Amino acid sequence: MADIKLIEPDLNFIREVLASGGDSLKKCFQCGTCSVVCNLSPEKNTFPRREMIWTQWGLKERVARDPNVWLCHQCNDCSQYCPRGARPGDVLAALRAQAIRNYAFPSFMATALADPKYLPILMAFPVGLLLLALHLTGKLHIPEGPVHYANMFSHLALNLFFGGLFFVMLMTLLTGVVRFWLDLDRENRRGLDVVTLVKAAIPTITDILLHRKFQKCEANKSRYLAHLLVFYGFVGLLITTAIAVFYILIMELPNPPAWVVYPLPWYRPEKFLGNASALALFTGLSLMIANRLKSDATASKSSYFDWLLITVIGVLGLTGVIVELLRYSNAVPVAYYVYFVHLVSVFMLLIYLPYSKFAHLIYRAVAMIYANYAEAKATVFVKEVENVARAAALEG
Amino acid sequence: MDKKIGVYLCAGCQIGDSIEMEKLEKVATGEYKIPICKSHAAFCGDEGLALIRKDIESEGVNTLVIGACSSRAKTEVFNFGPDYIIERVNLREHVAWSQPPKNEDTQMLAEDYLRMGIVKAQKTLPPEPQQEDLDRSILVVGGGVTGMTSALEAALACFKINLVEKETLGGWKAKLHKVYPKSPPYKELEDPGVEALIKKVREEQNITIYEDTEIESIAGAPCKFEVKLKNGAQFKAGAIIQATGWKPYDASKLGHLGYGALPDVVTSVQLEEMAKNGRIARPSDGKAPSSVAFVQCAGSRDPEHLPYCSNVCCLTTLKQAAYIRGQGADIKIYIVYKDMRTPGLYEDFYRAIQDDPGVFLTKGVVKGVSPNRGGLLVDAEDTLLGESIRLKADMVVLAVGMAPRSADGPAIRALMDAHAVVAKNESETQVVEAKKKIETLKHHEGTSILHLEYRQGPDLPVLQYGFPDSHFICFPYETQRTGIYAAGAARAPMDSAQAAEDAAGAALKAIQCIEQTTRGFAAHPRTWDNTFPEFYLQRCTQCKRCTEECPFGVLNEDVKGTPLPNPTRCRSCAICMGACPERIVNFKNYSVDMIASMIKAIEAPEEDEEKPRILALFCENDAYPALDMAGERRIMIDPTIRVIPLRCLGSTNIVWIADALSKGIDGILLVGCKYGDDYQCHFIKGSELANRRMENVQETLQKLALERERVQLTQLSISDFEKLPQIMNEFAEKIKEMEPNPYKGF
Amino acid sequence: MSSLGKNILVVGGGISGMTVAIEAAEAGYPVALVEKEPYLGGRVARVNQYFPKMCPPYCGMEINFRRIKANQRIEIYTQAEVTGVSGAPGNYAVTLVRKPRFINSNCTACGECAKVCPVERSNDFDYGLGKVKAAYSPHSMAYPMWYVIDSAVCKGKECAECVKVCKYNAINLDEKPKTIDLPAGAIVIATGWKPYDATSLDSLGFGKHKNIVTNVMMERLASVNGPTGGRITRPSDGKEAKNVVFVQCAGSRDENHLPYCSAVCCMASLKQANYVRQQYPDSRVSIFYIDIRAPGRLESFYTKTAADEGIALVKGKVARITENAGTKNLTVTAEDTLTGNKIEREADLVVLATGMQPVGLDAAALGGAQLDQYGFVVPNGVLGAGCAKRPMDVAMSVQDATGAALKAIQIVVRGGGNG
Repeated sequence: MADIKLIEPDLNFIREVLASGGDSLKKCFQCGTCSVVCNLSPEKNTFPRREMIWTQWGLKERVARDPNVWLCHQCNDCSQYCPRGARPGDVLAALRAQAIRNYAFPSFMATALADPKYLPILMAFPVGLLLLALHLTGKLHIPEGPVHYANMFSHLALNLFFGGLFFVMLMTLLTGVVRFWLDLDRENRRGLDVVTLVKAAIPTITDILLHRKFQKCEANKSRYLAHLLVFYGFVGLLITTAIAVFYILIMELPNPPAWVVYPLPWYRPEKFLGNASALALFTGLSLMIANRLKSDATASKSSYFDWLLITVIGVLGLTGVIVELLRYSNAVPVAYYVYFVHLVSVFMLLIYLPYSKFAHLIYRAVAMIYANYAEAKATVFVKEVENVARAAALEG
Repeated sequence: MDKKIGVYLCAGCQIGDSIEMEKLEKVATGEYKIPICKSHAAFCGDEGLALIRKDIESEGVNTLVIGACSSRAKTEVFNFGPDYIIERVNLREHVAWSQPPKNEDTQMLAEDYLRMGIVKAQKTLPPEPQQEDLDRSILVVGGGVTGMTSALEAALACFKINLVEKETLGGWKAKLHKVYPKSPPYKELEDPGVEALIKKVREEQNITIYEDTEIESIAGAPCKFEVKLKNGAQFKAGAIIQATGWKPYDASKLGHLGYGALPDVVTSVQLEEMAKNGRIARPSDGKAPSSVAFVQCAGSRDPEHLPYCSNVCCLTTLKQAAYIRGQGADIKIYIVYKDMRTPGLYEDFYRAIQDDPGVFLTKGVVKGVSPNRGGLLVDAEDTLLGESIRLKADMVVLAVGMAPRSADGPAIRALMDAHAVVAKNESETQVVEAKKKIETLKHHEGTSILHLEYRQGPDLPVLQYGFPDSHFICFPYETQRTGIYAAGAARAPMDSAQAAEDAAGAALKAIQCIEQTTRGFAAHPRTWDNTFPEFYLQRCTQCKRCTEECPFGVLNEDVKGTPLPNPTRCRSCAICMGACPERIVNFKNYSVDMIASMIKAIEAPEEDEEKPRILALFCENDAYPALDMAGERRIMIDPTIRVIPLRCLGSTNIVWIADALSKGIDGILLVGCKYGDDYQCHFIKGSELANRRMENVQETLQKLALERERVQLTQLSISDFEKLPQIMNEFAEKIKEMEPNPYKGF
Repeated sequence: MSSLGKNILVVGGGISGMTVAIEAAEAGYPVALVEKEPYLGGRVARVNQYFPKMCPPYCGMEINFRRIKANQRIEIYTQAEVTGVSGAPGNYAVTLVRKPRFINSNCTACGECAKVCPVERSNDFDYGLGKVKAAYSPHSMAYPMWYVIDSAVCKGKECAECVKVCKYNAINLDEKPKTIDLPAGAIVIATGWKPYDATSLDSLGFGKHKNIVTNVMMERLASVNGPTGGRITRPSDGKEAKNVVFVQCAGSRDENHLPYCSAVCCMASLKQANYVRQQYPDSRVSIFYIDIRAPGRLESFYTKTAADEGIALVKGKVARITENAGTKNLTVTAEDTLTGNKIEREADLVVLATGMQPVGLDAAALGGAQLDQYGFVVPNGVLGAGCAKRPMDVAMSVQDATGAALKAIQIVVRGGGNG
């Protein structure tokens, strides 16, 4: 037996998976139905059957560095056809949550986000922080006059503040992702091949942008549209926000150009983009929520991890729109309260991103790129070997 | 009884359109001078039956030759009770439905069949019931769950039981800590509950228990068994149930899995003991294990050891996994299996245990177990994890299989014979041969359990792997020793639930054998038969063929080798009748002379007529029904063939062949059932024996200077009814190509 | 003692029911055997060969029928169903309803009625693979050996061609259902099983694709008296099926269908693989399985079959079957769980090893028989035998039925004193 692996199950890992939405894990009896009904599963190195037994056997590292876990888009075709009710779709979702937690830095944040009992603290933190800011700036009261949010927090300060947060978040996220990549690549130590990497990345990213994988779902077709809407709704809002921030900064300059105004009046295209995106986001979200609620227990169960993200994004978007409307309707003081909640949710989304399900955006992208990359590299390698062999053959 | 024969020729079902009935009647009234011969359009109808009944009442007809459909059709209709001899002549399936109508050959065929039928009726004698005092009690050997259950089940049907156990009642099941669930919802472990069973058995008045003793000897036959126990007790028995159970496969042969060398490698049996004693711990240091690896099929499904599947090991392992997991939440259980075998509703128990986070299952091939700093390493290949794996375990449990506690009667007999030869020390070569034999058989030394005083050996013959099982799917209790039934794990690997069912089945068969025997009928399969072989011993030459060839060990021998019949052991297959060169073994309703006379009754046309005559001897359970079904399908058959059904092709006596050939029959076709490992003969080796006797037939042919191809034996199964006509027609063609039998007209 | 006591009522005339009846009767007890079909033998009558001996069920049936014919203690009611039972163990009152056969015991099975009968019916004996006349003989060795008329398709008196040609006054197209009351001491339910409905396995395409059959249909395809005369061919075009794939656990061991294991399908497929290999030496067979379950001595049949180079066993469950519209060939997909790769096999014919399901008993009508969550009989006062109790093979059914006969006898002898 050439390469024999010492197997040491990690019972705690199994318990974590069971607790975080993978409670059906042990029911799997390895028939392989899932790998066949899954339209995303490749011909070789299929999933999720192998991920199921590795997880049953508590092989934490093995699944952690397994890109297949991220290739799963939880269509739940597997869960629907599973003869044992093992719901591989949910188990892999749980594994992804595990991975995010595993690679997150600092790790205590991940634990905090994984467990509902920490939710109050997670919310209290930004609330306290903002209140403190108001206190220090002596604005811990409802501003006079018509609704002008800058009267509460100076836009510049606010944006610098959130900008900073955003940067911190990116750093922590990057740390996690790098760890993840190194783990993925642990198997083949043939150095980083940038060209192949880029080649691999392009199709993957287009796949993601077009949601090609989601289109392959059968059991749960509606997820394609839902996820598409949320995805682009979110991107749209991100862009509008960026523009807004940009304008605000410009406005700080002496005599800014006339077209730079903030807040933007309703007829401006940027505004349209923003509102359209918000609409998309809501439609998508409500579809998602509907799906998750209707999808019968046998097919899929939604974990706290899923709900947390959905809720945060929901609140964020919702408050965002209300804030806008209240501004038009000049509703003092409600506008400011809602605005405050809005800011809290922005904070939560941004700073907690690397630890929340939101991180799947990045991890999945990385995993998909890696999968392509590794395959490409493998084929290159095989070709080399063949060439060598051929050469040898010619000589001998 | 003096016979009054009546011949009744039915013209229904196209018989009338196919045969000239008047000419046919003349055969009976003319050739055989039978006064009463009637024809009717449908004797099976009320009017026809009334005709027959009238003759029975007014004319005193007591022997009826009915020329109509096959004896397999309308059987109940033409059954006029035990006081009447009924002979059915198959004019429908074998003539009207398989021959061109109104044709000379068809007519000849029908007339020959009628002749044969009349002769047979003339030669048939009514049975003579034997009156003897017959015992109705049952001996059960083995006091485990099977033995106790069969005793109890039979007792509840008001039979007297003698239950013999070499230790104390309880058997293996009493050694178990828990048992896996045997009833819905198949999730929780259950208590073995043997105590309750033992209590019931002890309290049952119909059961007499003999503990701490074994069988000394069993003489006699069903309903006449004389049982002696080692403790001196003696009693009679009607039938016997062997419920001697199983023993675990000898783990010392499993060195490759570390057994013996590594103290912490134990068998599932040892683990069960630990559980029963309340704590599972490592033999080496008495510490409770934190990880245990189960190796499935340890010795089972392995050509080197037990080639069969032991059926219970998978479920037992799942059960024992539950034991150990009960000792601590962090204990890891590894189970490496070939196939997880939890048939039927037991699947639910598999699902239940699977759910435990601490139980790790994979298919795999265990390559070895090695020591590792106070622990063990288990290496396995071809796993579902996609690679070869190595497991760390504090303890390794070998799921060992079940071997039957049985003995191979014929083998023991062969060993005894070999010893005898050595003792006699007549010829050097014989002694050498015998010693070789002893070498190969010596592991049977002293293994006897039943100590039967049977010429063919002291125990049941075993089928495969030492199991005294039946060879028949449709008759799992079809044993080779009448009135002796193996049950439970001694018969085949099975769990206690199935063993309990098996016990009831064996008890029923024992009861049934007693009922049939006391009524004077044979045991399965010829349960309608109440005639038994009669030996005209004055002419016996002590050739021992009958005693050796009887598939059921019916005959014992005196010192000279003269057969000593035991009618109640007999299944009336008549293989002894076929075996006897002196033709001294006969039945009242089936005899060498009867068939010989039927053959003589066939009209062999003169040479110049160029009409060959072919005799076909058919197994009545397979070939004969197949020919009927061919008839139902209106498949044409060569008209030169005359078919005689036999109880078993093994009852074919060579003299018939010699007679037939010497009276001018051109060819003889014998069709019997399949023999070999998958034999289908319900008399075990009937067709095989017939085939063996063909050697002597070839001698006969040489003596008569005839081609060997004139006699052919073919194997056929009942569903080959499309093939049979081809076989018959091809044989006829072959015979036609030869010169006619020169002995015609002698 | 023997032959006293009440009837033993046996519900179901398949191998288990016949066994209970014959074994009890030969032990001396009167039996009433009730069968809903017009013939005895049930499912085994439709089987080509038994594993592991590859011997025909007709052989044992011939013996059993001969035992029945010779035994006065067995009363047979075909085309009859139990509609009501009152009383308790030891003393039941049973009501049967017997459907009209339209052909009585005068029938000589001469077959003239079928010759003239103008209408055909789908042959349920062959699981609809062939057709027979409305007046028909159920099968080559049907017992009782009388023809039957299927009122569902028979044109009745307006046609009556059969009545004209029957010389034995055996046909009565006016026959009405008959209600029969019987006393019984014990009741044994031996109603057997039905094949799981393969059309509910949507991903496997049975019913959509012609060349996908079930294992019970395969038995008929291989039987000399089946729709193809024993030639194993494709339903779509009658071509020889030389490349056959067997799909194990088609519905069994599946929470969406039958959660339990049907216990016989592995052996059945191994057997049927041998049918194919013996008929076409150049054939190829693949068997896709989760676990091969070959109990006891049957292991040697498994190893013998697995050794055939023309037979491939793959550990992996088939989850998708697609049809090539042109050739009507099928592509079967599964994961080989030992390599972790998907494999696709092209096949002429796919056989779904569908499992055993209880027939769906009306427990109340059967004297309060106890059923488990799947509908299998749990013996308790009212007894069970064979596959009515749980999935099992023929040998085990006969073994179980023999035991059930004794339990019935106990109740009769002791007037229900013990359970």
